[in-house]
Amino acid sequence: MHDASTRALREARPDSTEDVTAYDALRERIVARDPGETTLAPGRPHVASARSSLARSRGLRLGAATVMAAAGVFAAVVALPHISGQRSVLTPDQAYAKPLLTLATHVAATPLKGDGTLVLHTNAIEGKGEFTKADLYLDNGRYYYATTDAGLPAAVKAGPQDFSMKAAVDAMATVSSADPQVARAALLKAINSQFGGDTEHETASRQDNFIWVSGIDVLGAGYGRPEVLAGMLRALATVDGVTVTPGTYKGVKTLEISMNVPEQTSSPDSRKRALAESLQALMEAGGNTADQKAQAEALTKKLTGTTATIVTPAHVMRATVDASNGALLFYSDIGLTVTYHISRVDAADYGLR
Amino acid sequence: MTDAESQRTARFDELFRACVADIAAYCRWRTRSAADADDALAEVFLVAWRRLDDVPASTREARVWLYATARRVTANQHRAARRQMGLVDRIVQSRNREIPVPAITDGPDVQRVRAALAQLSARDRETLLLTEWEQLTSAQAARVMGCSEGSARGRLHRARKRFRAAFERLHPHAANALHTPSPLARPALAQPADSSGRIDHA
Repeated sequence: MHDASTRALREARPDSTEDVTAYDALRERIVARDPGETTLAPGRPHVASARSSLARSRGLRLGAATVMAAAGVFAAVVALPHISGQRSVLTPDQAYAKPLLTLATHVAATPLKGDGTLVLHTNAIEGKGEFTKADLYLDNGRYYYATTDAGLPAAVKAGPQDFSMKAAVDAMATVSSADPQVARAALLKAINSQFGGDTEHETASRQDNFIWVSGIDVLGAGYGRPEVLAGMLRALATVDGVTVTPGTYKGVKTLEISMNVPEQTSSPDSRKRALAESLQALMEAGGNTADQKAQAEALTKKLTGTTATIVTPAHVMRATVDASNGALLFYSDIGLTVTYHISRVDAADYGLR
Repeated sequence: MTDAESQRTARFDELFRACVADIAAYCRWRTRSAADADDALAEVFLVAWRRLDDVPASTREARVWLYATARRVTANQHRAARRQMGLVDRIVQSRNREIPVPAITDGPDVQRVRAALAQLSARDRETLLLTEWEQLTSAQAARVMGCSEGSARGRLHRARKRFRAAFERLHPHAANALHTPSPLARPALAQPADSSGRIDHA
């Protein structure tokens, strides 16, 4: 087809940057990081590895932004709770959050009635008010949602929705009594199958981040399905630095699962700054001529811009669960508090078989 | 550097130079900001560098491999970004929103094209753009999207039909009220690696 609509569409294609030098700098960084290194084993401290290899090969004094750029600027996209070390040298007692394993064993032996789970949650966003959502997860895998419980019948009538964590839920159901590392690997594989990507080859800290994110969804959807909840708790127990604190809420014993997030610096232009710094460092290492310096400075100025840096302060993400059955009660992150009311239901109550 | 390392680097350089502009453009329309696109581009080629042995030997096939990798990277990136934004976006975002409507900023019918694209489903839009913007065949687009060629052809047929209908429905003056035609000629689209990379008309 070559009608007006096609011509207009083709002409609307966004340009790629025409700054070939910036691309060259990217290529240099990738190749320079370690010519012999083709894979990064899970658990390997990625950033530190890249820093040491670059420093060895080029003798550079690299700043943090340069290191991030050299390591692959994408590393800053996701919150990095901590750069974990070699988990393999830890004993199981040190490596896993034992209270989560204990709870996993308990819930695995405690099936609940019903053939579906209703998750009602109220989300309070700092400075922006509240909104509610009702999720209905059936044990057969179907999923429906509405803004309130009252809206669910209409949602059911309209047909099932896609549940983005279905693969993760299904995977966790197969590892309810497996070794925690097996549960972890199964979850990462499920995330890959659902969302694509290369999660299994990410750094341990990014893997931890994926597991935490997925864990909140699966803890909600998996309530009442002992095998799912047990599998998810086992995977969560492998997250480095997770702490579990006993408590009570309205007379109910609880476990507060916490994960620290360090201060993060980001801005719309942060990647460009990292690129510019990396370019400058590489050009200085390459010959330090006046022309190269001028070129680097010009490019740095062009790429850097004037956008202010955004600093997200260090904070703690917390998920509070009922210590008797693993039901999610609260979740809090910076600027957000979610209150859950989770119960088992019968699909028949919603006109479903 | 050993001979093997030199060969490896040379091969990567060739791949990089042949494909970086296309993949950069793709990352731009698959992501929500220039910074995200930069990140995705870096990750795609880092994956290619790590897995150079898995990259097909022919440039044409390698290009498709890179698109498929870029698609996974941008999808993963979107998910990772949601973590940073907290649960809010995860909760409020409805399905089929992972691929943004591209932030088109230029072209004689920019608002009209954007409005028409917004009326397509995410999958149909992606199929249409892979063929019209990235000049992939239906078979290549299917490999990038991880679906059957039949599905890709079906989506493309539907997408073209719906895009054309939506475009024609949108009155140019109404849809383009704020647009001032650019006096600058648009650069030509990236050309496929060879004749088999041309658009097919499913």
